[in-house]
Amino acid sequence: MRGPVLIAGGSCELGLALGAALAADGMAVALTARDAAGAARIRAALPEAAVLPLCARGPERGGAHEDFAPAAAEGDDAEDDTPETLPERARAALGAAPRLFVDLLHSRFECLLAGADPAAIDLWASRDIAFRARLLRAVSRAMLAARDGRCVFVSSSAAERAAPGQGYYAAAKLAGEALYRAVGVELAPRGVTAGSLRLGWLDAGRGAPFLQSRAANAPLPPTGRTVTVTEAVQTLRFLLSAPATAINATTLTCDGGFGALKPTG
Amino acid sequence: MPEHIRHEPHDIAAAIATLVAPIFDVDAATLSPSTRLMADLPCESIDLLEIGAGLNRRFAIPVRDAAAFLTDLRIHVLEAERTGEAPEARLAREYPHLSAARVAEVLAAVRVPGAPPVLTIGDVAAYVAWSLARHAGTSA
Repeated sequence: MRGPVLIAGGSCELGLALGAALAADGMAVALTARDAAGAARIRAALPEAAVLPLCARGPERGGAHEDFAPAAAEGDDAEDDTPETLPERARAALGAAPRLFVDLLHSRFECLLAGADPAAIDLWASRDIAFRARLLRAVSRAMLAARDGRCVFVSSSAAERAAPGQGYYAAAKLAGEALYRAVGVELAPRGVTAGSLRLGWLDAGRGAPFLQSRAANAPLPPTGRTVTVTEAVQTLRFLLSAPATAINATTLTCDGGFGALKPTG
Repeated sequence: MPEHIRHEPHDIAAAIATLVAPIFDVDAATLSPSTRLMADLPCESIDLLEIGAGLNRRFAIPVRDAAAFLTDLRIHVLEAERTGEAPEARLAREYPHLSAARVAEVLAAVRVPGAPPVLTIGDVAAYVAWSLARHAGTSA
């Protein structure tokens, strides 16, 4: 395994488990958190890991024709926790530029499509699509400068088969898959590959309360169980490894085969 | 900004030549500020992206590729003509790193049908110098 590794959205259960596994592989690990509570979760679980704030501000523009605002990369360590400064902040924290990147970011914006507040739709597009694009732009650009990098986006089986109320979530995941596919197509000739992993029901994070609340006789995947955090971590670990480099510009599904089932009435 | 990076335009152009040379497998000594990236080298869009990423890293500056590489040059000229604005003024606003003389050169070149892209290493060096000066002023 090569490293260092940067995990965006690292304060979730899957992120912490992945960070622990990669640290056990001997990698330097940095995880992002959007608030103090998330940072505290990371520090409690992974005291050796670097914790980097990541917020949706900026990039600041002084005018329509001005460039991005100065970043922490310039020794100007203002409170700049935007995606544009993340690669340099990760490099400073890890001692070397990240070669691996895992995107676990997601929001909890779920409602019927026609029931969403218009202002909330704007916020969703900014937070769940544009922000991810900015993040991937910054990270892949830094990897391009080194001609080495691997980016993996954790998508959801909802991208293919969204339940009522998951339309916005599914659309954001589909957009993310398209962005990562584009990086894989455009930058692989220069050593930067990318792909997406659709996870099915996971008894962690947003999936846990859903699984606990559903009917006892609700259908399960052909495997007879949901995907475990350990399985998800090991799948991601493989996707980050050198032998998986040829899995590029594509999307894999890890759902126990649930998506292949014929819907039941 | 790292102390070893000097601000003189010649040094910046030399540093850019060092950055550009391995991308095209050429000797950096054969490159100069007048080297046209898209006409004298087999430079494609992904090469410009890599150069931009390299500028980020080498000079620790944010880079707006559209300005640094004059990518929308023809669009700006057409838009200025459509709106009745003086093209020189439009280009000076879009590319504040270019001198008035260079804007005139660029404008004359872009009006020649079929002419190759005018971007030179010197233009990129001018952008870097402008960006370095701007951010030195910001952080002062």
